[in-house]
Amino acid sequence: MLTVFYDGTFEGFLTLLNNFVLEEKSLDGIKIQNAKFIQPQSELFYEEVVTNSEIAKNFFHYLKKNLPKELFEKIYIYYLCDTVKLEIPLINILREIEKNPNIWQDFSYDEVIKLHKAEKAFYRERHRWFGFLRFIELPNRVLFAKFEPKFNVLPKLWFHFVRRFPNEKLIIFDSLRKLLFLYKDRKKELIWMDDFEIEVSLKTDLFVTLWRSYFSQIAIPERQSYERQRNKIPLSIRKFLPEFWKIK
Amino acid sequence: MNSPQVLEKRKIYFYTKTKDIFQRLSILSVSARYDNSCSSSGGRRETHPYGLGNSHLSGICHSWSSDGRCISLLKILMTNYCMNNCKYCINRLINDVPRAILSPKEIADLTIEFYRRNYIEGLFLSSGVYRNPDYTMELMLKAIKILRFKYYFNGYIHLKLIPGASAELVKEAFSLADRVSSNLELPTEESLKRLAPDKTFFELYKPLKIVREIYNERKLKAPASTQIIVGATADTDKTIIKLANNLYRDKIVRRVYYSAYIPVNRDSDLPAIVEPPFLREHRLYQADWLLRFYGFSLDEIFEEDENLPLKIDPKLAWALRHLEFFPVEITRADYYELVRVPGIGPTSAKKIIKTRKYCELSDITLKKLGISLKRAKYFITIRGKPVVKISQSQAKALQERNLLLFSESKC
Ligand code: SF4
Repeated sequence: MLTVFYDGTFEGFLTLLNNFVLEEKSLDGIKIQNAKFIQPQSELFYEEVVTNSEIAKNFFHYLKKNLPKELFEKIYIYYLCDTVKLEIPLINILREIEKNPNIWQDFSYDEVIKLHKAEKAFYRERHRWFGFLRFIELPNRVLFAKFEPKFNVLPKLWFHFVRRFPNEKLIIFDSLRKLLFLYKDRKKELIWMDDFEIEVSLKTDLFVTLWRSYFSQIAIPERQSYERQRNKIPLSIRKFLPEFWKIK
Repeated sequence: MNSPQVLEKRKIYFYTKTKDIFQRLSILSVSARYDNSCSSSGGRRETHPYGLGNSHLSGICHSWSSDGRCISLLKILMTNYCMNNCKYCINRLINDVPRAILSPKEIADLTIEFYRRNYIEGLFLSSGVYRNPDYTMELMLKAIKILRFKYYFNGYIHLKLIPGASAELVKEAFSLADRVSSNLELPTEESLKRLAPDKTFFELYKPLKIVREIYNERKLKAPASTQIIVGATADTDKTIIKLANNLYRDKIVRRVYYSAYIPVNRDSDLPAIVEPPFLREHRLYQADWLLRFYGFSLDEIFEEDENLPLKIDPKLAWALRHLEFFPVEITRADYYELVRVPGIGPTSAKKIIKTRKYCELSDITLKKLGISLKRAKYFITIRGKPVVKISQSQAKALQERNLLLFSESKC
């Protein structure tokens, strides 16, 4: 089994698709991996896709020209669903689409179902973080939020907060993917940043304590249902929500 | 129990100092928590260029409290002091509880700071009746005006209308808020007389009517809601749902909330209950959904009984009473036929209709789409064939409405 790695950028993703769709590289015995999550060296047999901006650009135009608009717009979303490994199903669909233009809507194909489910899950995940992202105010009134979403939602998430807080200074950090969003004076930037860390505690922002107190009081004791709460807020993301912080 | 007169003489500790903000927030959120409404959907405001905040059409949940309810808004009372004596309410005048008040500016500041940190979608402001209804409403409006005109806050605001407040103030409240509400509390005048002697149905209904009249030029339901307490009186489910149905029909409210009666006071007029009727509340919500989204009529839901069955949901109950309606052929059935099938809700019905345009439906395709056939299988056919072969004993169980066949209680 040969593992093909790409660098986890959108350009890398398009270069990879180009290799398998237009250059018809075989998928037999191939596993595809995003190098943002696993280092190539951890595999015995691997090959790295060399990201090529020119190829990526051309392939992007090829898709724009040849795919129905609705499907074309989903390609970026499929890229952002980075943890569910959509590369192979997508390659299979793109290879078939010339012969069967409606294939992407035909739910009798497992690939179509997988893509469809992932897209839905992506928007669900984004919507979740509309609510769950927590800003902590740093001393200079900068609002800082750190999170680790299931998918790479930040490129489709920041807009919500910029629209909502156009006059604030914002830092949002996806610490799993090391993707950083900065916003100040109506200028914005989205960058990959390997070593970025801001330590926060209860003392950083006094409103955290007020919020925690509100959070504990608003529950009706007679209705207590930790199970329902756990279903809605999995334990894995609670470290990002100050209302769940365990204070020693 | 103390009478109001005795209370007049007793010194009430009223938390008002800035440094008490922790206690006050705590008192006022505890007092507000029995209001079930916390939705932030339906807002359409865009961010002001100098301010902050907008609303998201479908609403956003920011957290879930330990009672499993979504937290979307900062839900507080302006004050829990109240001149009324509703027997079911923790804030009634004769109760000896700590009282607190937040100033309009404090309410506005709290909202802004919670909102900036993305704890909330906005504010749900309610209040006990302080001095008189107009005075209370004016203070509440002051807070909202600071938010809207000083901070240019365009996030979601739900404002409770104080019964008895003047029409002008109700109109002003409606123009500033995204949603307003007035709780009808109990479904009949007699019940109100018994448990909320200071209130009348007319007085509680009036603010909603004013809002409807302002909204008259539009055909949509007014962005208002109400809440009805369930189980504090002997009123039947049919009485409650009939009231809700009328409110929906006349487009008075978008949403009726049902709140299981939770005893917080002792009073001979209140029922002695071991456990709040949460399951009954759940069934009422299900019936409410059947009216609003499934095309059921009131008479269909209450054909046999004035109260909903507790063991099974009202849709399954209807299906078992109407086996002649089934099986439904899912390759041809329209939306309203599909949603009558137990186990198939609006989302699944839409998926089925969309999918059958492009491919042949089979139980495997349905499973792949995430449509559970656990319950539906008894009620559908796919191209004329039943999904499961029903044994004679199962057929008999169906006829006899044997509930063991349907272990779960999803609608
Ligand atoms: S008017 Fe409202 S706050 Fe006052 S006692 Fe009645 S229910 Fe409670």
